[in-house]
Amino acid sequence: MAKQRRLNLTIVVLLAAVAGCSRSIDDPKPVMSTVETIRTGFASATDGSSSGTATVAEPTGYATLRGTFKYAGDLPTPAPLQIIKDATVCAPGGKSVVDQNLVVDSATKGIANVLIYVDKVPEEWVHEGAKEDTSEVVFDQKECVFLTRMVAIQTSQSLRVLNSDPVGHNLMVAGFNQTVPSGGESIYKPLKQLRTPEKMACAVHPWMTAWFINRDNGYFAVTAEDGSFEIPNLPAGVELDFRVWQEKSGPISQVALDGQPTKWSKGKMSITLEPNEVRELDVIVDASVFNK
Amino acid sequence: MIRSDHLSTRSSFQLVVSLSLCSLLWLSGCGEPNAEFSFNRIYARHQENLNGKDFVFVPQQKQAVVDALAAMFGTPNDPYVANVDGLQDVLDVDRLRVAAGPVNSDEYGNGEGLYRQHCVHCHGVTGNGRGPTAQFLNPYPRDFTKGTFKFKSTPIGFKPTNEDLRRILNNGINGTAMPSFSLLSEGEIEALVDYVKYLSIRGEVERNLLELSPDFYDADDPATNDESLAEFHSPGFLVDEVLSGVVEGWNAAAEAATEVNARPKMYDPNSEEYSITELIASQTRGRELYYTTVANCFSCHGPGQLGDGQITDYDQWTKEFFDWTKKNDENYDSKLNEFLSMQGLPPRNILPRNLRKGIYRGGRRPLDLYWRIHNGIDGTPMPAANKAALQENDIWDLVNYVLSLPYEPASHPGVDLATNEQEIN
Repeated sequence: MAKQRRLNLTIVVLLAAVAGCSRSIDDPKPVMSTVETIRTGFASATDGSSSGTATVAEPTGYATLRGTFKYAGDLPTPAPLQIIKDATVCAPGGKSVVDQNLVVDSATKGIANVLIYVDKVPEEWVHEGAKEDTSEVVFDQKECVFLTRMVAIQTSQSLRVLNSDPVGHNLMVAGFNQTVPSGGESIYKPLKQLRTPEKMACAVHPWMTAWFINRDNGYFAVTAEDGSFEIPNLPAGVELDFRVWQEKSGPISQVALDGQPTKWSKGKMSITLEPNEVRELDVIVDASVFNK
Repeated sequence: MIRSDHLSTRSSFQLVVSLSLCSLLWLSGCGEPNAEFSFNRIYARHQENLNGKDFVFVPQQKQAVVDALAAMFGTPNDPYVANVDGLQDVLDVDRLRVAAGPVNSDEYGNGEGLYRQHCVHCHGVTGNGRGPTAQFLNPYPRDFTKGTFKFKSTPIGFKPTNEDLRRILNNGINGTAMPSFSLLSEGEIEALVDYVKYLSIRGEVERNLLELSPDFYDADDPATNDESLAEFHSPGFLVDEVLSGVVEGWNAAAEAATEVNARPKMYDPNSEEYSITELIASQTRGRELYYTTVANCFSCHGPGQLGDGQITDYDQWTKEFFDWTKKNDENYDSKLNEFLSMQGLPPRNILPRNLRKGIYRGGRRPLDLYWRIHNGIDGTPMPAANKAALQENDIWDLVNYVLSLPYEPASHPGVDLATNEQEIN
């Protein structure tokens, strides 16, 4: 009897002890055997004993990729933005200011500001005409709107930031935040290549938005108002991984390519071009891709 | 009799064992949680969102991230610094051992487990700023894992120097819950400086791993995944693509520090060259600049310097998962619920400093204010001064003006409109 009671007591205390500790335990825990394997890898890498001489294909020439991005579905209705500061400058005459996160041309149905860039490409593959560009790109703002919505430059380039407003702005982007006086300017030199686009913002007027990417080569393009783009001097004869991105959809992963439903997993499009080829892509993106 | 005695001894023994077992369970399970680095769920979810609709990490991907991290950095009780790519130049494993682990002291009475003694309650085991007290503090404790620091001598986008971190530990952060640790010995401060860097590097590496992980798993082609995983754990990938950028950043910090010439002696009351007339003239120039679009201070710090010019924004740590300024966004509520369910702290606006109070978080020396104005404050809306329009003497004028503000009555009638008022209204 006594023993039974003790056992009961033990169970109750045990249960209480266990039940009282509801703490998150669903985080993955390191597996020591894998950890050791990785560490062994580090050690042999420092010894210089690792061999990494895989046969890599070499480009056989150069080619061009061009095309258009068109929108399928009813034209989007842009949402109005809340102008909470400097209304006389930012919404003159009380005009409605709308979000430009998806710009579709009503005549051609072209989607503007789609970014297409080559993800990884060995430096020695890059055509002379697609690297070391040191020119300046002008980036202006007026009525509290960044006049370029999607900015893509080479890492070697710099951005001359202007301010055509009578109020002060500042530009915040990857590793940079500087005041841009009315009528003044500011120079932004990117530090290192970005993998994905970063937001550009103004702290004074938080509704102002644009997007920015800098790449170590010139293999990128942003679609024009009619949805068209062109990237020349691409290495041919080797498989290239392109990334296709738009700010509202993020990576564009579902399209109709030349009429065929096509999946670009995580926005990745792999293409091998023939030397001197001009490949034309006819891309149609359904409205649903932009609705989260 | 013998048998019964034997029985009762045995059951007492059993009782003692069970009870000790229970208390052990209770102690280890609840009283003192097992110190483990937590997985950055918020950033993982953020990456899932960035990879487009329907993308989610599979358990193998998360496991691969956690294993890679443990291989490079060890655990909270057993820190490790992989011998790769200058990592050991940035982090000293012996110092880390003084800071890591449970609170203890060696046979000479030297403290061990300093981080858990002094820091963990607010900054958390992982250094993500979400320790148990974090939710009761305003501002919230710093999350080191983003690799961004506010109060430093280097420009936006650069790491702080060791001296910057040391200064924060010694002085604390005025106006916040961060106290001064100047009673610790120099060696203990050094250990904690290294440990903060360790947590920060580990945190940034975790982010890089999560950013790159989506490329190492293909749901449509499962046969390739073992090979991808091996590549994800290869030293070439982990060192070159994931770690080296972070390590370079820390190594570059000292050289990136903004050098500042001493504040002109005529503004320094302790100097023989001090001139009250010059100081007042400088403050007057600073005040004029305050209201121009060139310095643009009034936009956020307000026409009365009360820090009420722009109060709707959020800092970069808070805004990373979702832009909380978009109160009308259809996803706002679901995003907020999701954020809180992942132990995110309720988002709070970042407020421009009220310059009338004389509380300067990054330090009250003229040099500290010079750095804040010249370089801006990383991770916050505070921009760097415009390099083309503002010279060194202009920045000293602003510093002198800001330092004078707490001593002027707030009701002092001032120029409370932008100097180009006619133009903008």
